[in-house]
Amino acid sequence: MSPRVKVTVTAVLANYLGGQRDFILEADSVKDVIEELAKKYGSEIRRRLLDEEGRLRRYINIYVNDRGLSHQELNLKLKEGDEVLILPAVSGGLV
Amino acid sequence: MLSEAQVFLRCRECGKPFGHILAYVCDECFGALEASYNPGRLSVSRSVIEARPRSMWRYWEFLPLIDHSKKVDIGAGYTQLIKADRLARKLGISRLYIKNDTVNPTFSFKDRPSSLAVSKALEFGLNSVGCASTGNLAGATAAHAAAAGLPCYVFMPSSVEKTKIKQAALYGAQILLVEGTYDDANRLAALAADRFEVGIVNVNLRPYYVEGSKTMGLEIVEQLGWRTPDRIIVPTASGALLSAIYKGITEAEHAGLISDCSVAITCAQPLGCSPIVRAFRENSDRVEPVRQPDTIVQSLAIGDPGDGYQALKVVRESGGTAVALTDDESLEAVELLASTEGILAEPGGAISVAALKKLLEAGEVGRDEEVVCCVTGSGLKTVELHPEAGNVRIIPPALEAVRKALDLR
Repeated sequence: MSPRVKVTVTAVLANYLGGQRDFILEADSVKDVIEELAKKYGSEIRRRLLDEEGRLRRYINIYVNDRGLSHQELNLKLKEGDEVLILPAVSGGLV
Repeated sequence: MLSEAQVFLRCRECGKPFGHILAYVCDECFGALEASYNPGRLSVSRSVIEARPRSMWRYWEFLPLIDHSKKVDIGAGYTQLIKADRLARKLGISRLYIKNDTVNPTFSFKDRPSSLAVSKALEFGLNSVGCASTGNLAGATAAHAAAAGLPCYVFMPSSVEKTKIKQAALYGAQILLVEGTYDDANRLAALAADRFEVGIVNVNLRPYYVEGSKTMGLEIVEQLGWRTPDRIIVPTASGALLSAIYKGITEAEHAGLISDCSVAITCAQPLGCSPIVRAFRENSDRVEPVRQPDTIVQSLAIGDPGDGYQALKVVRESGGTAVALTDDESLEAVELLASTEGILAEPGGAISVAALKKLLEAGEVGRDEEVVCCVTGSGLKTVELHPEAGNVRIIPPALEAVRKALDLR
């Protein structure tokens, strides 16, 4: 049985997820999280998050338990209770 | 006065147009939105601008505020462009200017974007504002919020210099010191902007906020007699200031205020947090975030620069360069600038001077170039970073002691 994880997204991504921003999903990896979301809400979310070669798009950041993942870590194994946050990458300070 | 139709948002990546709305991310590609203006709005002449009050708001055609009764102006901008001859001689360059933004109302350039963003918050009818900050933005947002009568919520890493924390608190803001990096604080602020009705100036007000920083570029060209210098060196964290300066200058050309917008935009970052410099130097298109910034230059310690790609593009397109400086080099530049020109900057502000020194020594900047170093924040907030000065002594109240201490005759 896959671990249950908490997934949070912001409003702009919720547009592709029936307006929902918080989810509890069973997923073994971050890639699985995206697949689970696509299964439930349609494949559009996958296309928005991943490019044609399955890599995370440039303007998306994913965090697991507050640690930002590099673009190579989509297969990172998840544990029961992990918190996954998916955010557009636009933000930051200003200098 | 601009009509609403004259200001709109557009995705910087895919070009999708949006209206004049409170949004910051494209819902198609998640690229950043930026403010755009319909052609024709910039029918303003040099003489009209020159006759206006000396503040950033003299360039209001270039700023996306529609209802000017919502303007929150505590005096940001139109800072001096100082011809720095003594410093130039020390560095061995013939023409050098300092854009002295240490003298803004809260002592950093961040008053420019904050003035605009808090005005926009009023225009959008928001009831509170906030920011994620490495220190300077906290004070700037808090001060403008106070002047606007809005509550202000500040997210800062707990490692920020104490003076900056106290400054923002004295303006009445609620300060949340996050146990983590700036990027952690920023992530929290982004979630707050998503879940609560608050205008986080550098998150959901960002497309408008960054436009305020264009005024630094506009001032530089006006103060040089409506022309560009050869090079502008910009202290860089998120990359937004650097990009905004260039945007302001290119818009000045489109408006016919200058005939040529050529200028080499040059990026200066601390070595311990230099993702944009690294991408530039490695000829990479990927700005890899720095997970744990390792620098005392707190104001530039943004590991995941929100406008990193745009800044990289500007540096390349403009023919500029990018350079990383050690903490010691930035601290030495603070002393050099203070002791030659009487300008006390924080290390994150004087880093542009450190960059010029290094680039001159490396032969990457010509000694005959005309250079403007942007100095973005005051050193009064960061004096704790400097070792006790050797030129401070305690003496008994006696003239002989003065004679001895100073070797006067």
